[in-house]
Amino acid sequence: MTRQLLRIFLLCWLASILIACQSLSMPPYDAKTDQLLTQTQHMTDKLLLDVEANLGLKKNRYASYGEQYKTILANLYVIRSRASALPHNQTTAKQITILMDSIRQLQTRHKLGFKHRAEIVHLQNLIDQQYQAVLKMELSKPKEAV
Amino acid sequence: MKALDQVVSTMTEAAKAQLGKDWQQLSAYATDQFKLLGVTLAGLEQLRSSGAITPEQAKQDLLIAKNTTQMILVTESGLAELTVKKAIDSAFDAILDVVDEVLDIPFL
Repeated sequence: MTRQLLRIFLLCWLASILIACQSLSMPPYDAKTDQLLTQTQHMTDKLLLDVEANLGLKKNRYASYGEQYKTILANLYVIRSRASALPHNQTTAKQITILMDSIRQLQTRHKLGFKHRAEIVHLQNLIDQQYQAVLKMELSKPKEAV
Repeated sequence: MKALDQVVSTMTEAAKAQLGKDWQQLSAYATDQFKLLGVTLAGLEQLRSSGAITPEQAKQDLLIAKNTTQMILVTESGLAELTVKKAIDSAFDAILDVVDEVLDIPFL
């Protein structure tokens, strides 16, 4: 009788654990997302370093960098599509949406012009923090399927 | 500009009111992020008052800083959820032998 009650209790407990695990499930680490994101961060950093190096020159204007912004945003679209396709991956998809919004803000800011190195360095720090946050999340995911 | 502490306090109170009981979960890192946002605001005010940047430029910079704060909070919240999931998995793994014995279910 006691053993029977223990079985029932354990079954109920297992069911509640399985339901909890289901609601909290996260996909495993995705190497492709990591790779694409790192590439895109590199492109963004290179763009901003170029802008900084070209301060005061005509090359510094937004028109010279329009294609690079398009490529960065296209990469982020790909990463977000991949993140959204993976189950229980809402946090990463949301992170990429915020990052895309920031890149668009950066585009608008670039169109308004840069005159001082401090303006660019400050924005590069903020954008890098955002890339690092997405990578931190990805690298914290379990390396094997759960 | 108002004193930095006052700005941070105003942001914190507004977030508390919005989050209600969920504030406790976020308070540890949200307060730090609000301080960073306050420092950014102070830096922008300096650039603005010296004429280094226009109001439009300052606005765009602030929007990117705001996004950074949002990104950090979303990330911390996601990491906390991941930690809970790992803890549940560990607890479950720890009693697999008992489950096998009592329920005759070979989980592994």
